[in-house]
Amino acid sequence: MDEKNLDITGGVRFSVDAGIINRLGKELVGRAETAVSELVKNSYDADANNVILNFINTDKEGGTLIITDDGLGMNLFELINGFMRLSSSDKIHNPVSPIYKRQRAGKKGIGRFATQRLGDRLTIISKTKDSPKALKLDVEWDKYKTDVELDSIYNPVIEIDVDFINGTKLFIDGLREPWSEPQIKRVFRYVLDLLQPDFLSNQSVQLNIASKDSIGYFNVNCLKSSNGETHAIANLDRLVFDHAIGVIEGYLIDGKGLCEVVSERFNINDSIIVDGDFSFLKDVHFKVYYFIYNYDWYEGFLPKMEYNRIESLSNEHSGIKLYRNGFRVLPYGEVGNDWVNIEKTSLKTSDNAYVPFSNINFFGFVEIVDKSGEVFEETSSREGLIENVAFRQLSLFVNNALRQATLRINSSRFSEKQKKKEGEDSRKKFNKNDTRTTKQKLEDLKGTDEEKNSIIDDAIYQLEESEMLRVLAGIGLNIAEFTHEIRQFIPSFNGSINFLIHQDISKQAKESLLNLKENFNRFKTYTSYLDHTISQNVNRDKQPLNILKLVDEFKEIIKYELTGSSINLIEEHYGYDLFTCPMHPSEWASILYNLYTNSKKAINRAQPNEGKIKIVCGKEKGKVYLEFMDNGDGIPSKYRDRVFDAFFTTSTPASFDASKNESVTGTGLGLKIVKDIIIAYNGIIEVIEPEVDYKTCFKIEIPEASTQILEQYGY
Amino acid sequence: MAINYYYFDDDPKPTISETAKGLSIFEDRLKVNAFQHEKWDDQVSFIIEQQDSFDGLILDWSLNNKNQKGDIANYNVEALAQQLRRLIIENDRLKKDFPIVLCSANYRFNEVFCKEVTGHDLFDAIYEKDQFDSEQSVVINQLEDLANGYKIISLEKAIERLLNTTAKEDIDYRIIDFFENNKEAPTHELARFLLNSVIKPTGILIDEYLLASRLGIDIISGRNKDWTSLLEIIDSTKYSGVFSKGWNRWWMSKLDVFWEKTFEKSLGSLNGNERVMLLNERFNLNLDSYKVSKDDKNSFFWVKCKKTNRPLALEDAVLASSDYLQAPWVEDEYYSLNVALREDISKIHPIEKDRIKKIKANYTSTRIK
Repeated sequence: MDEKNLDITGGVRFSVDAGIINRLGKELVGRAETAVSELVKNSYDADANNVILNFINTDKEGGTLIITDDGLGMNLFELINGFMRLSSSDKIHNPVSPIYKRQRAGKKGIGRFATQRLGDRLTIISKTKDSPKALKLDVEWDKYKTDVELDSIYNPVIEIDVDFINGTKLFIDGLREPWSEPQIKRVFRYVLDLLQPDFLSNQSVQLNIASKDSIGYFNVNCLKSSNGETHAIANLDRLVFDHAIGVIEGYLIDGKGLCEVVSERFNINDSIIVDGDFSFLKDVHFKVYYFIYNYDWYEGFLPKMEYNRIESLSNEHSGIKLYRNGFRVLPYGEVGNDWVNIEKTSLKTSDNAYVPFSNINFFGFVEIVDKSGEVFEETSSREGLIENVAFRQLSLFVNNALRQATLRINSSRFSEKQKKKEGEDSRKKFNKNDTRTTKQKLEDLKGTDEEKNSIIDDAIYQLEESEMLRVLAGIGLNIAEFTHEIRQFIPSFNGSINFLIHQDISKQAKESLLNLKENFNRFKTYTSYLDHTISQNVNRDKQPLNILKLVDEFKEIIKYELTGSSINLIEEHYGYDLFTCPMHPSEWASILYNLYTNSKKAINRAQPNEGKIKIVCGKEKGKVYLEFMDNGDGIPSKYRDRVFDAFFTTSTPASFDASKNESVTGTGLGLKIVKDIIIAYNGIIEVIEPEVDYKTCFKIEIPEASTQILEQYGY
Repeated sequence: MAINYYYFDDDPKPTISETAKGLSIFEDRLKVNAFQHEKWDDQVSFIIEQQDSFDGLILDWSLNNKNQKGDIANYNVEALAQQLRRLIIENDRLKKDFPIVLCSANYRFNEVFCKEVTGHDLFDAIYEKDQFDSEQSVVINQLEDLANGYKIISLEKAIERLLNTTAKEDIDYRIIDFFENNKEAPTHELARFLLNSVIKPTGILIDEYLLASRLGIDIISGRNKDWTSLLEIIDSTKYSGVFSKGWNRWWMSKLDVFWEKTFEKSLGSLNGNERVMLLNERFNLNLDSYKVSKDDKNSFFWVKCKKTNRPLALEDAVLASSDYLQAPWVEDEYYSLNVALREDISKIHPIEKDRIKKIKANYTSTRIK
C-alpha cells in the first residue's frame, strides 16, 4: 500500500493478511492427530454413516490423506458461506445435525484450518443429494502468504460428475509429516466417543438391507496404503470384535446344534455339541461376542481407553439381536429384553465360582431364515414374534450354547487366574548378588550407636516372631488338609468294626472289638475342634458373632476332653444378644481353645481337688466381655503384662527327647496370637483379679456390634 | 429277599467296601455293594446294565478324586441323580424307579447342604457318614424301607392302602386329592411326597417324642421298659403303611380315638401328670411323667422343642420360623424358651421376635461383683 494514497472517506476498515490462515492453523490446531479427528467430527456433524480415512504413502512426509464420507455434502451456497467463511456462524445456527439430530462434535470452524495444518494442498469434492453434480474446490495453502490480502486469493471451483449420491471427499496432499500405524490408531481413539456401532447380521449385509435400528450409526475406518496395497488399521469391528474375550458362533443343522467357541485371549478353539430338542427349527445361525467387564483381563491386550469405550457401548448396544430373513425383529436384543433367558440363568463353575453371564456381556445376533413364514410368525402388533414352540426352542438353543461356551471360556480364565496366583506366590525375589539373610543384614547394620542398635535388635526380634508365626501357619494349613482326609476314613473304620462285631468270633475278640470301638469314638472327638475351626475358615467373611453361641459351641467341642481330664466347666451369662463387631468365626475358636489349653496346664500343675474353669460373658458400656478363669497355679503379678509377650512361656522348654508336639505347643506364642487377634478388632485383653475360688482370670473386651451393623447382617 | 443297594464313592475301594460292610451287618435284610465312580457315560451305562441287581443307590456327594483307572467324575452327583430320574420317567432304558440316597463325610454336611435347595428334590434321604455308625440300625431300617416302599408304591396307588388305614377320614382330604390327581406321577414323586409331606413332619402322623409329649411321659431322661409296654398297648394307633419301618410314627387321630374310648375324656383337657396317672392306673405301668421346670407355665404338654425334643405346653412354646412351602396339614414347630433365648434369631418366627426380645431383657440379670 502506498503511504501517500490512503483513502479514509467513510472511515477505515479492517483488512486481513493471508498469513493469518497459517497462523490460525498452527495455533488453533496443535497436533496432526487432532487435526484429522476434527475432520472426522465434521463428517459426523454432516450426518455421515461411514467415514473412511486412507493414508496413502505416508511413511515419509509428502503423502496423501483421503477422507471420504457419505454425509450430507455441501452445495455451492454452503461451500461459500460455510467452508470458505472463516469463523462462520453455521454451527451457532444449527447446534444439532439436521437428520440424526447429533450434537455437534466439531469445534467451531476448525475444519478448514485442520486441512491446512495437515498438508499443503487440499481438494474438496462434495455433493448434496439434490445437486445433479458435485463441486470440486482446490486450495493451495502456500498461496496464503504474508503480505498478501486474504480476499485477493482465488481458489478454482468446478462442477464434476461423481459416482456417489451425497457426501464429501477431502484430498489432502503434501502431508507435512509422516503417518505411522500408531499415529493412525491414535486418531481412531480420539474419535471413539462418536462411534455408534451397527451389528448387522451377515444376511442383512448381503441383502443390502439397512436395518431398522441402525439409522444413526457412525463408523470410522482407518486404512493405510503403500505401494498400491491397502490394509485396515482401525475400525469399530476391530475394536469391539477383535477384543472380545470370546467369540461364540453357533449353527443348527438338521435339528442338531453345534457351537464353536474361539478365544484368542485364553487359547480356546472348541466345538461344542448343543444338546436339546430343536425339532421345530430349520436354519439358525448366531454369532455372539462375549465380554467381561474387568479391565484386569484386558490389560496388556487392549488400551484402557478402548476398553472404556466398549464398556460404555455395552450399556446401549449389548444384547443379542434377532434377525429374520435379514430384517431385525424388535424388541429382541434391546436393553431390558431377555428373550434368551440369560438373566434367569445363574452360572457357576464346578467349584462354585461365579461366572459373568448377563445380556450386557454379549454383543451379537441370531439370524433365522424362514422365507415361507412357516416356522415363526409376527404378532399382529408387529412387535416381536409369537412365542410358539419354535421360538422357545430357539431361545433354548442359544441359551444352552452360550452357557456351555461361557463356562468353557471361564474355566480357562479361572485356570489362568489360579496359575497367576501360584506364579506370584512362588516368585520370590532372588537377589542373586547378596546371599545374606535379612537377619544377617540387620546384624551387619549395627554400629556403635547404642540406641540404633537396640532398634535393630527390636527389628530382629519381630522378624523371628514372624518366622515362627509363618511356621505355625504352615502347619495349620497342613492340618486343615489332614483333617479333611481323616474324616473320609472314619466311616470306613466304623464300618469295619461294626461288621466284625457281628461276625461269629470268640468272646475275647468281641471284647477287643468293643474296646476298639470305644477308643475310636474318643479319637473322633479330637478331630471335632479342628473340624469346627477349619469348616469356619471356608467362610472368609466377617460377621457379628454372638459370644453365647460361641461358648455353647466351644463347650460342645471340648465335652469329651473335660470328662477325660475331670475338669468342671461353669458358664454364666448376663444378657442374651452379646454380638461382637464383625469378626471371623474361626478366630474365636482359636482364642477360646488357647485360653483353655493354658488353663488345663495350669490346673495340671496345681493339682487342686477339683479342677474348675468358669466362663462369664456379658456386655457393658458398648463392649461385649468374656472372662475366662481357672483354679490352676495362677500367674505371679509381675508377669501379668508379660504373659502376652511373644516367646514368654512358663512351660518348661521341651527337653531334647520330648515329642515334636510338645516343642510346638510350648512356643509361648499362644497368648500373643490371642492378643493380636483381639487388638486387631480394637478390643482389650488383660489379666484381672479372679472371683473367689479361682486363681487366674483373663478378661476380653470387644466392641459391641451396633444396631446398624446387626441390621446389615440380618439380625 | 434282601434289599440291595449300590453305593458309589470316589474314595479308594478298600475304604468304601468297609463302610458298605458296616451297613450290611444284617445281610438277610440289607446288603450294600460299594463301587468306585466312573466317567459319565460309563457310570450311566453301568447303572442301566445292573438295574435288576439293585433296589436303591447311595451316592457320595463329592466325587473329586480319581478312581482306580485314573478317571475323575466329570459331573456332579446332582446331575447324575437328575439324569437317572429322567431315564426313569422315560421308562425306556430304566424300567423301574428306586430310591437315590446322598451321603457325605463332610463336617456338618446337612447344615451346608440345606442351603442348596435345588438339590433337595433329587434325593430320598441325606446322611452324614457318621450316622452310618452312630445311628446304625436306624439307617439300615430306613434304607431297607425306602427300597421296599418304592416297590409297593410302584404297584399300589390307592392312598388308604399305601398308608394302611381303613379309616379314610383319618387322611386329610387334600392328601387324598393329591393322590387322585397324580395317579400317573412317577413313583419317586409319590414317594417323596409321602415321606416329606405326610410321614416325616408333624401333622396327621406324629413321632415318638411328640407321642410322649401328648401322653405327658418323660422319655428324655430315658426310656424305661414300661414305655415299650405302653407302645404295645397302643399298637392300634401305630402307623404301619409305607416307610413305617424306617420312620416310626403314630396316627394322631387314632390316638385321640383310643384315649376317648379308654378314658372317656379328651386328651387335651388333662395335664401331664393326670394323663400319666390314668395310664399307670389302667395298665398297671410305672411311667414317669415329664417334670416341668420353673420357667414353664403349665404342664398341658402338646408340642415339643425342635432342638431338645422335650415336651412343651403351647403357652411355653416359642414358634420356630417355618418353611412357607410346607403342606397345609403340617403343624408348626416350636422351641422351648431356654433354647429360643440362645438360638439364632433367624430360626425364630418373626411373630415371636419382639416377645423374645422382651423376655431377653427381663431375664438379663445384673452382675454383682
